[in-house]
Amino acid sequence: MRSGQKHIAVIDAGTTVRGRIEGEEDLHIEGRVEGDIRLAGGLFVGADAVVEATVQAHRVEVSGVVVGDVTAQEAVILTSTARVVGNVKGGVLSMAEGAAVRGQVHSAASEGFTRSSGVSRARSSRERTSSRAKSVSRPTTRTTTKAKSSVATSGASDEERTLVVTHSDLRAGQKTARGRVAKKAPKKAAKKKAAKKRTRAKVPARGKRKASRRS
Amino acid sequence: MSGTVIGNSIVIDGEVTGSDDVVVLGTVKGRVSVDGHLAVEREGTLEANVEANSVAVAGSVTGDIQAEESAELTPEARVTGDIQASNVEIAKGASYRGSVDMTN
Repeated sequence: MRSGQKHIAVIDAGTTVRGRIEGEEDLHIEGRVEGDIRLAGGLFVGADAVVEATVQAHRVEVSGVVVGDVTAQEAVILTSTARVVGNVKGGVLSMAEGAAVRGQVHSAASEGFTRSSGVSRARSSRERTSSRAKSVSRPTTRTTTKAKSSVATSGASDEERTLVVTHSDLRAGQKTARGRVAKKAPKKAAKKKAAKKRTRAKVPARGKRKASRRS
Repeated sequence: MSGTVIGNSIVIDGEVTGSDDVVVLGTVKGRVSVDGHLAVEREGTLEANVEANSVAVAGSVTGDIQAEESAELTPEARVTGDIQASNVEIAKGASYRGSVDMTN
């Protein structure tokens, strides 16, 4: 290994790095990194690699596990074995079938692409866009903190929590084109209505045919 | 791929541990503890205490070096720190300041 020879920076499978990694070149991680990674080059996280770090790079390709926010100027590519817990942000995003992400996903193409504009575009003439929808220009902002905190703790309940947050968005007079999220809010509303009705339900008193309005 | 390579432009502030061979062409500040061979190339810089099976330095090391087997300082090496290894080789031209312990 003489100087002048072209090396590829590698954190190999048996190596653990704790702390901060900075650099201008590409870095392949096959081992374990905990801390913070900032690269002007590309970061490749191998299938058996575990990265518990905030990642910033020009380009990030993940086949392994990343726990932490991932930001790439150019692209974030998640292969089918990728497992990411954290917010993913990139100029371009690519996610293979089988890749798992828990967190917010954000691509540069979606800048200024608000929920209201998304909804109106998706549903075009079919739906009215409520004036309130416009005020929810960044519907996901509130999820950020929650998603982050749940990311850290992990566990099965996280997903539910994230959903709850989505509800609160929907309550602000929002309806999405996406079935799964959209369905929940109306259901909740319907339940409430039903509950209200039940308390008001008029049952005729014993021996009477009509329920009295009083009492 | 075999072994960890800390590339030219890479700076690690923290600790590097593991069982792989490690080649340092960049900079590591903190601690290096590997169960393998550690090579600090000419452009490599260590500001760290080092533990390894064997160590070969062609670059710069500031910190103590503890090698299970051997420590080698090539002519280009610049090392400040104590060396503890059963075999120590300091090549002519190497710059070294510190104490050497070669007791087995």
